[in-house]
Formats: sequence, C-alpha cells, structure tokens
Amino acid sequence: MCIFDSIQTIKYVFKLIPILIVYPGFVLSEVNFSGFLSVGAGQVISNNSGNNTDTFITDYSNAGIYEKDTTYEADTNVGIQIDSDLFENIIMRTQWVGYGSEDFNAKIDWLYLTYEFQPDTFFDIGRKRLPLYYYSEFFDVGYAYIWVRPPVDNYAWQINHYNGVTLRKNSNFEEIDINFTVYYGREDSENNLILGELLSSNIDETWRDMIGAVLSFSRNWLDVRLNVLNGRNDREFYGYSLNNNNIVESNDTVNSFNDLEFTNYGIAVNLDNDKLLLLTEYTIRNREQDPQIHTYLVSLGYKWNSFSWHLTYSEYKQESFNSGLEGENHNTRSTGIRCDFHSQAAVKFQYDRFHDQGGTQYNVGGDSETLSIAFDMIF
Amino acid sequence: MKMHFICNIFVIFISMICTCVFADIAIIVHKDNSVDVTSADVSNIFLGKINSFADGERALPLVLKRGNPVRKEFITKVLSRSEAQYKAYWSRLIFTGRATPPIELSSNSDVINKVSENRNAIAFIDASDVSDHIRVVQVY
Repeated sequence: MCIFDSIQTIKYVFKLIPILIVYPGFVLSEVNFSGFLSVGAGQVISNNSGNNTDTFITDYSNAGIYEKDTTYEADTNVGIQIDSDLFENIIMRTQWVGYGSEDFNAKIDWLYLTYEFQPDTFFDIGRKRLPLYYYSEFFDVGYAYIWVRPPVDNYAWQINHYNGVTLRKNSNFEEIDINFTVYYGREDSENNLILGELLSSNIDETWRDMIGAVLSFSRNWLDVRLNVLNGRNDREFYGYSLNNNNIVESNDTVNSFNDLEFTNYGIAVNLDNDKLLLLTEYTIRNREQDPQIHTYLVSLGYKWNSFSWHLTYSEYKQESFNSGLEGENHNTRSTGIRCDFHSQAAVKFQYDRFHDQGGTQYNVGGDSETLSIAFDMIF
Repeated sequence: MKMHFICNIFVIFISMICTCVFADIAIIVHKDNSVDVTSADVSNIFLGKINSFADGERALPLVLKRGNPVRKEFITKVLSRSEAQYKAYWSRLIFTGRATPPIELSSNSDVINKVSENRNAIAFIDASDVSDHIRVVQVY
C-alpha cells in the first residue's frame, strides 16, 4: 500500500496543521486569499447524426459537456485559494474548486505544504494537479489563457491530480529561466466521472507509483517545456469487462486490469510576443497492451489592444489495436476571440468543430459544432 | 474667437503629450542592501521567476496598486507586458502555487516607507521621489 493514498495524504496534511499551530515557533504571519471565476455558456449547434444526441466534451476530468440546448455548467467553475505562511520558508497552499458540471460541490484541487529549504528550491508534500501538459496545472483558471478552455483533445484525461511529494528548482543562466520539477505520487479516483460517462459504467481508476519530471526554459517571448511521466494503472469495471481489448457488457460485478505500466512524453513550444502567439504541444502516451496515443495542438493568435484572436487545431489519435479495432481518434478546429475589458476580467467567444472518427467502442460524443461564450475573472 | 479656440486646442494637445511623457522609474532597495541588482534580476523578481537576490537573501517585491501610472509604466517598460498580460501571467503562478504575488501598496510614500524598513524589499517608484532613505539599483 503506497503511503500516498489520496484520502490518507489529505488527512495527514490536515493532521499536521494543528501540530504546526501549537509548535512554539509557529508564526502565522500572513494569509493571502485569492480566487478565480469562469462563467460559461454553450450549445451544440449542429451534429452529424441528425438526432440531436451528439455532445461536445469540454472538460474530461469533471465531465463538462455541452448538448443541443444551451447550458451553463460545462465551462463554469469557481476557485478559492488560501496561502498561509506557517513558518519562515513554509507555506500551506489550499485551493477549493467548485465545478458547474458537479453542482458546485467544492473539491480540493490543491492542498500541500511547501518548504523552501534553499533559495528558489522547494519541497512540496500533499495534493497537487498533475503537470501532464502545459496547461494542466491551471486548466480551471480561464483568465490565464486565450481559449474558452484549453483544447480538450490534448487534455482528455481521466486523472488530473496526484498525492505525493515534489521537488522544484528555479534558476537562470544567461537570461534563460530554467525550472525543474520532479515528483512522485498516486491518485485513486473512485467512480471516475468521465470514464463512467463514456462507458456507462462505474469505474474505479488508479494511477500509482507515478514518477515524473518537467523541465522548462524561457527567454523573453520563447517558452519550451519538456515532460515525462511513468506510472502504473489499475482499473475496476462494474458491469463491463474487457475481451480482446473490446469493452463488452458483462454480468460480472467487478472486472479489472491491474498494474499496466504507462509512460507519457511531452513537449510544448510557445512563442508569445506583443502581437503574435504560437502555442504548440505534442505528447506521446504508451500503456501496456494498448496502442500508442498521440495528442497535439497548434494555436496561432494575434493580439491588438484589448483583443486577442486565435485559430486552433488539436488532435487525439490512438493507433489501431492488434485486433484491427480502431482506437479513440478525434480532432477539433476552433476559432475564437478574447476581450480584456478589465485588467482582471475577460470575455471570450469560441466556435469549435469537433470530428469524432474513432472506433465505435471509443466514441466520445460524435461530430459536433459548438458555440460558447465565457466570462473569466480573477480576484 | 477663432484664435482662442486654436489656443485651447493647442493647450489640450500639449497636456495630452505631457500625460504620455513619464519621469524615469527607479528600482529601489533598502539602503543597507549592497547587493548588485541587474536588469535581468529586476525582471525575474517582479515576474516571480526568482525570489532571492544574487547574494541568496530573500527578495520581497512591492508594487503600486492597479491604476497608478508609475505601475503601468513599469509593467510596460520594464516587464514588456500590458496590465492584462501581467495579471494573466501572475494568475498562472498564483493558482499553481509557484510563486507568491508582490505586495501591493497605494502610494510612492508607502513604498518608500516599506523599503526603508525592510532589508529584503525591492520596489519601483517615480525617480523624482528618490530620497536618502533608500538605495537606487536601476533606473529606467
């Protein structure tokens, strides 16, 4: 049993707090409150099936989905963050996020202690968002990026957190900023939302023994990020089973696969100057017994005054199974505009054309065209 | 009458130009802080990329509140960003826990007082407000 069981880790961190508070050296010198809010609305305006059943998934981890009627939940969320200085060089960071798609039941997105044991070198313990991709860690903060939401073909993952330890180092060399992060942890997701939604079943998903690293370089308008993650995947189905990689109905109450090794490799190269944006990201994912998955995005943007415009293409492509069965395969063409009408608030409009061309077993909503609008702010 | 109108237009024009011409910006630290602070250090500290001076001592950045013209000039001239870009950039750092945002103060005098009291502080002010209580490390 790994010590970084999700619930246990949170309990340990909470238990630490009163111990720290009664410690003689405790100095709660400063508590900072901050937050973010996104209010989105959208509607699938056309689909290829003609029966108005196709959907557009905007948030895989929280099952944010637009359908034929205008809804407000998929891109709507609110987050509150509290940063508490417990001791010199020790900070506790807590972030609660409520998602519209989950009736705003607040979830802990971040809860960890960070200790700066050398200048610009940090040790963190607790719950954090998994830094799988460039935007993974601030996916919920709509104000921080140009789109209504980061291209979901790239961010189509069922696990987005880990409970564990992290080591971070910031430095610079010849005007190049260098950040290095290495982490270890696990996440247990009982009754995983998006897997349950897509497979109409109850599924417990575990990513464990995760060890990952992120190395990023930035200078002026150039930002390069490399990442790797290796771990083990356990999954338990309730009511379905795998048969030669096909998901089939089953009378069994529990079927599972266990201990499948997975590895992700990713690179992001972003150019951002006064006028132009070029955002790119490419990732390869391998998991034992499964065909390789490639995801990528390319987004070209132009900024003038308070407005930003983007043209974006993203794709999720899984190679075919040995049995010949097609895997999950979809892409999205998007364009949109962002207006920064206030220094802490922006409004965005976006059109998405989603093409779902994977095998029938791996359908994720069908083809669709979607219009959405979002209001994003930080406070 | 016509000449009077032209004079008014001229005055308005000159005043508009004047509002666009800012005084220099001085980067200041505590007077006992003798560390060398380069332009790259200034940018890195105020963008949360590093949180210590070259000698390893912690750096505590202070900024003027939104709406202050010196702040706007600093963000534009020194950090090469608009206010919205600056906020979007910091929102990534804050909500991923990578950095703690600079403390915001209301006026140049508040900034000078804070810097003169705290050996770790670093801030920017209108260069015309520089006094003996602080040390200037860069001027833009």
